[in-house]
Amino acid sequence: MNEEAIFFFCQNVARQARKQAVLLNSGTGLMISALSLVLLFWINKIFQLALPWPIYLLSIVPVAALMAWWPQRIPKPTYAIATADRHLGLNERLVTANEVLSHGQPFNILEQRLVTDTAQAIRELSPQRALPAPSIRLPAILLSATLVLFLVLPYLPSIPPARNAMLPQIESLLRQFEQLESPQTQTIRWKLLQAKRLIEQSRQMEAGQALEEAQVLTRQGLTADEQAQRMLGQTTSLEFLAGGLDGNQDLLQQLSSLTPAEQTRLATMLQNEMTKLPDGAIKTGLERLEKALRQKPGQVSSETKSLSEVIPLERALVRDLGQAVADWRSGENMTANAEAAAAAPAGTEVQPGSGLGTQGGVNRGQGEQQEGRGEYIQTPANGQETPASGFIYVPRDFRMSETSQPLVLPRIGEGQMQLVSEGESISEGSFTDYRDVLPAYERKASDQMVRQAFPPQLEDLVARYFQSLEQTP
Amino acid sequence: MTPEEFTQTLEQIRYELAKVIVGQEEVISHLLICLVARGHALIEGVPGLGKTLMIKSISQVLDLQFSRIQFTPDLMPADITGTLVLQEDLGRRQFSFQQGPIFAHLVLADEVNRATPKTQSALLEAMQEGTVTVARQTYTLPQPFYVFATENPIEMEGTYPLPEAQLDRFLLKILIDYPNDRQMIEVLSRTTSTYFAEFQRIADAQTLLDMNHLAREVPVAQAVYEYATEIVEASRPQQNKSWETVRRFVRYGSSPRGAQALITCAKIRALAQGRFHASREDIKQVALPTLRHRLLLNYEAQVEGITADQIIGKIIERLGV
Repeated sequence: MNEEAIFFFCQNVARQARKQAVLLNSGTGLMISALSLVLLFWINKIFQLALPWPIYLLSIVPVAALMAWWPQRIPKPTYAIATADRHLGLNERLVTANEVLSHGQPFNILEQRLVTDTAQAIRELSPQRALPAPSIRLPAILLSATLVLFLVLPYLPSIPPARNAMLPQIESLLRQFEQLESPQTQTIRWKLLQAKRLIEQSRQMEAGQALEEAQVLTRQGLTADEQAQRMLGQTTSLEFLAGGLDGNQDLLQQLSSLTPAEQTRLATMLQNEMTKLPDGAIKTGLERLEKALRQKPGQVSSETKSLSEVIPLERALVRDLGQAVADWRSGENMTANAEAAAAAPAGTEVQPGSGLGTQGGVNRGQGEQQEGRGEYIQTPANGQETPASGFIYVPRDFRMSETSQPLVLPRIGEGQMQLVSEGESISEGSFTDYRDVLPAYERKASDQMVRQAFPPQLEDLVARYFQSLEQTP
Repeated sequence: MTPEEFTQTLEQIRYELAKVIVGQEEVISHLLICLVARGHALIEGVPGLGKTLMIKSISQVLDLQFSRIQFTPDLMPADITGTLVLQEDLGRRQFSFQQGPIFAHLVLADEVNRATPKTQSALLEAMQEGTVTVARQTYTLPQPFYVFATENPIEMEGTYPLPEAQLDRFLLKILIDYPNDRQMIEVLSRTTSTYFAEFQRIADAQTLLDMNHLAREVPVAQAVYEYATEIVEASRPQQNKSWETVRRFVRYGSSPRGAQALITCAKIRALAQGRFHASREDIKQVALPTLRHRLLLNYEAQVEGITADQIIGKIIERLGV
């Protein structure tokens, strides 16, 4: 009876040790696998590796390795019994009794007494509690902490400021695409919405990726017409207006000299854009200007002057409206300039004369001071000189017809805009054979494309365009 | 003999010895272990601590033949073992063996390190084999045979340290320390009055042999054997796994006799405490007296005041339980 009690106790202890080893091994394997999976995921995100999904199967390796190794980790029964003996404070009594029993009978008097004594000692003990808990506390805590850290990293309190900074920009971009309806823009909007949702979920890395994809789609996917519509949908013209009115008497003269049709078009555009403005002096001024453009062309000059007095007072509002455009613009300059270079010779009244434009001031949108030299192109409608800085491309101008050519305008900024004209200006109505200027424009377009990176399709487009002009009889 | 009788006998011996020996419980325990193990003991202590009285009392309690040999530089081996003397019997002269004082159950070799190595070596065969050979004739010593040798640690001038081979034959080296205040008062009270202790004979030589037989049957787990082996191996600087402390201070470690002594003493200690198996704790408790004289320390250890007890303590601490 005593022998059986000891035998079963030892057997249970050995089984318990086996179970503990299996649990420990599988738990460790799963923990390491989870950690490696999360690590792979984050490495992929952080370094933008675009790892193929089979690479994640590597995280199974620790589990497989530990499962293959676990038979080696199962303690021998004698070791398990010795451990239990020590843990229970039996002072080698259980171990000795187990060995005595394994030798078999006959027992001497001391062995018999030992077996009886051991059976009594273990009677109240549980084999399930005979083994100490595995000493994995520190490694387990470290592994768990690392895992939790990786999992909660996006939700740490330091993230919201970044989220707050990104959300308005995305919303601004979304507003730009609201009025555009095409499969491509829908894709872009979908990407932007996805980025917004990801940012709200504090998944900055994924949001950044979605934004990047949206940017690539915007650069490469939109047609020229969509680009133009997108620009019109922004406050670019308003910005232009504000910047131009701010101390630029030439623009006042331009407004005053608009034809009735042009004034009507400008009025329509102002009406559209005023809906986006908050109530204030600028909106009131623009309303009055719009009414004047529609009803009292003679008062346009005075209304424009009054508006120019209001705009500096609410310059911040104007700048805020244009900020989103400026941000977008930095990414779009390449495409816009290329299109400008490609489209400029298309006007039949392109002037050979050139000029220099300087712009000084602080650009709020970019947060940097700029000063540069640029060329300007005279528009064919009235021969008025319009500064062309080479920085900003506005595909449509309010003075131009639906099919008119794009106009290159300076970037808005604080400070005075100074135009320095050089060369001979062509008066209104003068014509030059395009063959005379074609090589010069073709060279400018190719120079522009060499200086900056353009999509290959656009370069081909420009090249084909000039080839078609050369072939024209 | 049953385990209960074993324990009871030892307790009775303790009780009887306590009539004349004040305190020194650990020393008495170790001496009793020696007696049950049929081993020899080397007792080291300053004069006046009752070494001789203790051993003499043991012989009286156990009804053992007792002889005392005072070791001096001029002591000759024959003075210990005995010699052939010419005797005349019925007109015929013949040599007959005259037994020396070694022919006793319990031999007190007092100040054993004062004799020359030649004389000391006369004890070797007796201690190991339990026999004495004189003139190519071997004589068996009475069984059980014990040599309890004493050493004085402070008077080293004119002494001859025991050779390692001789030291290894001692099962235990027991250190006797001064009694504490309370014990000292009790000693004064007893020795300066008319107090006379009358011993009751508790056991005899045969009882000791039975106890020894029973103690040898104490089961020992494999893990305990391994523990004893680890301790002994750890004491050897020549071992690959030896530690820095051992390599630095120990010239020679324990012999296999050390491991044998550990297990034997652990068994007796366990049985003396009413247990039926030897444990690691028993090994730890007997490690110092069984190993301290088997570790030969080098000059550096002597210069730095390192003792064998410190080395053994480090080994046990390092090995853990």
